[in-house]
Amino acid sequence: MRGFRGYIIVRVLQSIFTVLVIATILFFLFRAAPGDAVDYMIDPTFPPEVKEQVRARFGLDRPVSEQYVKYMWNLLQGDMGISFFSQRPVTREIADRVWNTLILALASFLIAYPLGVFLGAILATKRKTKIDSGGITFSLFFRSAPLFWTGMIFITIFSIKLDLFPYGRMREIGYEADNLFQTYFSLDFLHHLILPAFVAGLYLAALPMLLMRNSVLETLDEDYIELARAKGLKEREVLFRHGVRNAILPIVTAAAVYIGLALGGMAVIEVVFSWPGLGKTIVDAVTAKDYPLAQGAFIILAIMVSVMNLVADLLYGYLDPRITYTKS
Amino acid sequence: MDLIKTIFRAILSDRLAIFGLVVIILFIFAAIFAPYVAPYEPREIIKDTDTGLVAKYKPPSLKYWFGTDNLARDIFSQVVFGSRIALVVGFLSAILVVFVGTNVGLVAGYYGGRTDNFLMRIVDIAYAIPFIPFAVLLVALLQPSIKNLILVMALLMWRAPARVIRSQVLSLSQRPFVKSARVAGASNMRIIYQHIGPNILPFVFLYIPISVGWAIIAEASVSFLGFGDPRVISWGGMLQIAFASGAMRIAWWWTLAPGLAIVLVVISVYFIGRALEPLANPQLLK
Amino acid sequence: MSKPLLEFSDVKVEYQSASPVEAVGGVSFTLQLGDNVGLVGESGCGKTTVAKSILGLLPSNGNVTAGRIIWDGEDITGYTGDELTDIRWKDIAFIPQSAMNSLDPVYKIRDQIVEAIRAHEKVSKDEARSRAVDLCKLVGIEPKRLNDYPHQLSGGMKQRMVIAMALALNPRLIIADEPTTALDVIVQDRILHQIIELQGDLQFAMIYISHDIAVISETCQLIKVMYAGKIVEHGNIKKILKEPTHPYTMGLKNAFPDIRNPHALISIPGHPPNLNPPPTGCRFAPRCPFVADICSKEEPVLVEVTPEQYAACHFTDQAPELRVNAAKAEAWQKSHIE
Repeated sequence: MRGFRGYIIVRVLQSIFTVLVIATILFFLFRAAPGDAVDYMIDPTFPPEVKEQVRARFGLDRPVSEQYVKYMWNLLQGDMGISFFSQRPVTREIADRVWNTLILALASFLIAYPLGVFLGAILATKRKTKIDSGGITFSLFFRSAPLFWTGMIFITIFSIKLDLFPYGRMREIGYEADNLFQTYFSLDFLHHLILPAFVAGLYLAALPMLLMRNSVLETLDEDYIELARAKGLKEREVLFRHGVRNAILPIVTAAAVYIGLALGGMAVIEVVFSWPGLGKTIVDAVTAKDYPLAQGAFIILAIMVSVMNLVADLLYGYLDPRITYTKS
Repeated sequence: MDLIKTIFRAILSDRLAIFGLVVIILFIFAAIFAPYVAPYEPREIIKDTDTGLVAKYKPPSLKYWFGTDNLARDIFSQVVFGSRIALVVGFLSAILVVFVGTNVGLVAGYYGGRTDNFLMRIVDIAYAIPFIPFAVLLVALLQPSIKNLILVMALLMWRAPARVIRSQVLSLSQRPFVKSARVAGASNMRIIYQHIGPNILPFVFLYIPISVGWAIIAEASVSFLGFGDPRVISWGGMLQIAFASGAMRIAWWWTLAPGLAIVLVVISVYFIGRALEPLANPQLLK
Repeated sequence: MSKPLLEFSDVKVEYQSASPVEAVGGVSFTLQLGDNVGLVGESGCGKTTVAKSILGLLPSNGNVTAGRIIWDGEDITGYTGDELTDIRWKDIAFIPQSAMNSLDPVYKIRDQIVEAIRAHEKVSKDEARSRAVDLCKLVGIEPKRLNDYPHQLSGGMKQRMVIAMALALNPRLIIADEPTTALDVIVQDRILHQIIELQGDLQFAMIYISHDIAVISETCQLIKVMYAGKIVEHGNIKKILKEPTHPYTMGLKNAFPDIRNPHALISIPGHPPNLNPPPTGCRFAPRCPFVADICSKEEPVLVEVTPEQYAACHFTDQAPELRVNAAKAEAWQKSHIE
């Protein structure tokens, strides 16, 4: 498996490099924005003496290169500054929210992907029938509707009119958990999770469905499918062992790209459903001009996206031997 | 040009695409002639002539086709005027995105080697950046405006067409017609734009409708989050006010109308895009 | 005459597209164990369709619309894929055109051969694997290549692997559809000889499909010449190639170089007829240098010209004179030929 090990190392290094570049971009972004840099680091209503202190402390009067080094150094040690609002370290503020976003994203994907892939494979076998065009139009509709709007509509119908689900937050106010398990696996939590995860799932399912449909259609035309039949394999075996197994490759690649797109789009769902995740944190922080918090949350989010991209890339390398085993 | 004819033929042969084209044309018409199409001024606070009271939160009726909002403004008129922003942002962003993406793809795919590696690293980085959060950050720092919104989209969205075009160009560059052009002494620029270019045009035209769809949804999302241009009327902005005013509970029509407008426009461009798909991938014709 | 292994009885195959195309317009033949038949004809003449129809591998828009296909006494016409699973590969193996694309890129070669074996026989994985090793040696490839994925092998090696896989269950009939067309001549030659050797050892019947008469003449004892969906001449290959009876066969002979009898290559001008709907009369009439009135009115049937030689032409009795004329380039430039 030597080819594969090398592939893993290269991809991991690339991901790390990517995150560092993004951190750098953020650094220069905040420096390049109009206004006094100090205002991005502490509450602008503080008296000028304090501002001078902060300027000195953060080395804002030092050359940019020095500031950059200090910034990156702090970052690598996990120091992302202090939140204006809460005056607590940013890392503490976002610790919980990371899990919240992750769980929501995971739940949405768990709904979306298997559903999408399965439906896509079925649509491929029902090509040129009403089921086919119906399925495509249905998924296109959800892709054309902004995620936040779908959320609002679903809330209106299922939460307000039908009163089936709560319309926001992660759990009822005043809930007290005894341990981590109770925090995340209580019925109340799940009750709050279902609607946002389902809405996001409907939106996310469209792409894998369309992709899988196209992929299966293309794969079934391949020569190796014909030979598999000629070998006397049952049609079911041909379809799954050779058809789906090959058709799924582009779906996995797309997953890499897709997860990145989705994690960013989660922000909107979090806002509509008042779900305390990273996306909502960024939006709230930026609105409140709490830049250290916004920056910290953003970096963590970018890291999550990169990790997901990496995982899917590795999966793809594993599934397609043409990538990792070169010609001998 | 032949390609234009092929495109039109592809669109006209697909019923859904025709529907899409008609809808887009209608919206363009509404955008251009907004003051004539809209029955009221979009920001006009309407006094109901019958009761003499301000017409807040009126459900859809013959008088107010889509109802009114919390400040007694006619929602239909707002939707009509909102189409201007949607279409302008959508098409301008799409053109920028496709332009940048295509060129990056052409250069990376043609020159290969170090250039390709470098450009693809940049694409990887672009893909690692979550779009909406980044758009929010950028717009907040640079001040919300239409210009900045379009800029943000152009900054990130080119990543997708770049990748696809690059892989096409990679395989095209190996073909004999490129090698013979090189031997004949054609300059690199010439080969890229006059020889390879026409072959990837179907992909370029495929990405335009897709990018329009993305851009419209992205603009709506950023506006919904509160970072849209406050000086203009946009569908996303309408939804932001609706959300903040609790429309979900008391004025469902306020949520429905702008959202449906977005869905209509975006699904229409997607339908057109779908009709163009076979041009880029002849196998799908089967 | 023992019972034939395969019997094709007036089989017609149609493809549904914008309008139906009759790709095979009534083909009949029989095949015995040990027969080595070359099926020759230009692209589109229906030879691949004939092969695929035997195993039910026609594409979804293709159908056997008439006739019977009888394998080992069993009528398998119109059998579905699932009904044919027992016969496929175990009795009749198929080596498709460009077999190099027929190997699944995501599985190792060994696994694909093992899959073929275990689909029909209840053997352990280990036993199947050791059989795969034997097969590999049979086609002259070192067994460690079994561990590779298809893209790691050259075209010729992939082809030989598919041949090895075809032999895995000792089928009684192997249908090879242009197995060497996509390869360079040296590899082609090597594989051809391998096939001849294997057939000598294992005694399977073979239908060898090609458009290349030279290749067929090296490997087969019997030949069937197809044109526009019909068999126009068939029989003993040596006799037919030495003294063809059907004008099309004469034309084919002209188009291939013969080192023993160098001649200027003459090609047959024109192109095969449109088969939707198929023309009346002899299908070769528009391109035939010896065409007469009767040709476009009445379709000729296969008649015995000499023992072991059958041809479908109205003028089989004039064959000797026609042969002389066919060898001349001017004969093929008649004005009615486009």
